[in-house]
Amino acid sequence: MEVTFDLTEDILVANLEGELDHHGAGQIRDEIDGSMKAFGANHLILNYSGVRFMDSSGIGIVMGRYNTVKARKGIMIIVVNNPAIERILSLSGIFLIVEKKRTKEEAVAYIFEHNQKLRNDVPRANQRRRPQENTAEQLLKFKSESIRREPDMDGKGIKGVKVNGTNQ
Amino acid sequence: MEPINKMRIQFSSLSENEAFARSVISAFTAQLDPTVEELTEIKTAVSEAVSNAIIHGYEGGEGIIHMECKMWEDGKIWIMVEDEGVGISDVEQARQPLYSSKPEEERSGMGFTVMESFMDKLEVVSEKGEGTKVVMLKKLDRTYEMESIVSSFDWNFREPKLEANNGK
Repeated sequence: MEVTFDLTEDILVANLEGELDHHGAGQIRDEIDGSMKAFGANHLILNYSGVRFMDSSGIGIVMGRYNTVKARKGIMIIVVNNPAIERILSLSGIFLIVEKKRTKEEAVAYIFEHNQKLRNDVPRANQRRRPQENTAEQLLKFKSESIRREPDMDGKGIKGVKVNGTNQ
Repeated sequence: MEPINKMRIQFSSLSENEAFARSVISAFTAQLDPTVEELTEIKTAVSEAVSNAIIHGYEGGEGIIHMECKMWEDGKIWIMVEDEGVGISDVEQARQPLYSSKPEEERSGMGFTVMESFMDKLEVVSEKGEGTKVVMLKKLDRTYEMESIVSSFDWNFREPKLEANNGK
């Protein structure tokens, strides 16, 4: 059992090769975790297309890594084109929470698209949110802050804050 | 009906021997000319049983694992994997999908589920401190070879044969 890595942007691709069983799983796990940390990757693609044999140890690897990726708000994709391996993974229901792709290229493209969307969406979302926040909700926030600060403000605080709030 | 061939081996409870057990079983059952898919299923089930004996039976320690296999002319294969380890106090619970007594080792808890779905019949005999015996039965599908056999095919082969095995 061997694992090689590719890195594109913040995507780590782990290419597994050989027979994946309990014997090799521990080492693979450590290598993937180490690489995720070392490269600071957010997304993980587990490429099972080079795996000739796999038992349920392969499910354990997916489950453990899924938690890491989820904590980094990343996406995890399993690349699998061998029906026997797909069947074992399906048994655990892992495909309900993890994406499945046929090729490594498809998987990378999927995450690229997601990253692109994130980049485009974030500023637009902020613009949309800003005028909304200027209304009642934001004023309330200012008010509650000023009420908390009241003792320092000699009663003028609330009036001042209101002016600031509407000016923004 | 007498088996046309049988074998019994013993090996140390080392994780290296998971691959060894798989090779042995695929070399032995190859005599019955299984399909690639059937061979993969048998190998996977054996891999799970042997891994269980190593991880749970002997808890990573030293021990001897017994593997026995019998085959019949009609394509029936009987496999037994036995250890003299700690045993299972609640077999029902252990057989549940996703149940693992060692979740911290990232075991998926799918071992028995994989064995059950890849073989035709699975029996687990175990008691706390008494070791564990896993018996699996599989009938190779040979209808594609001889259509004439279909008419005289005994579809109820599982029940009587397994009883015979219990009292072996």
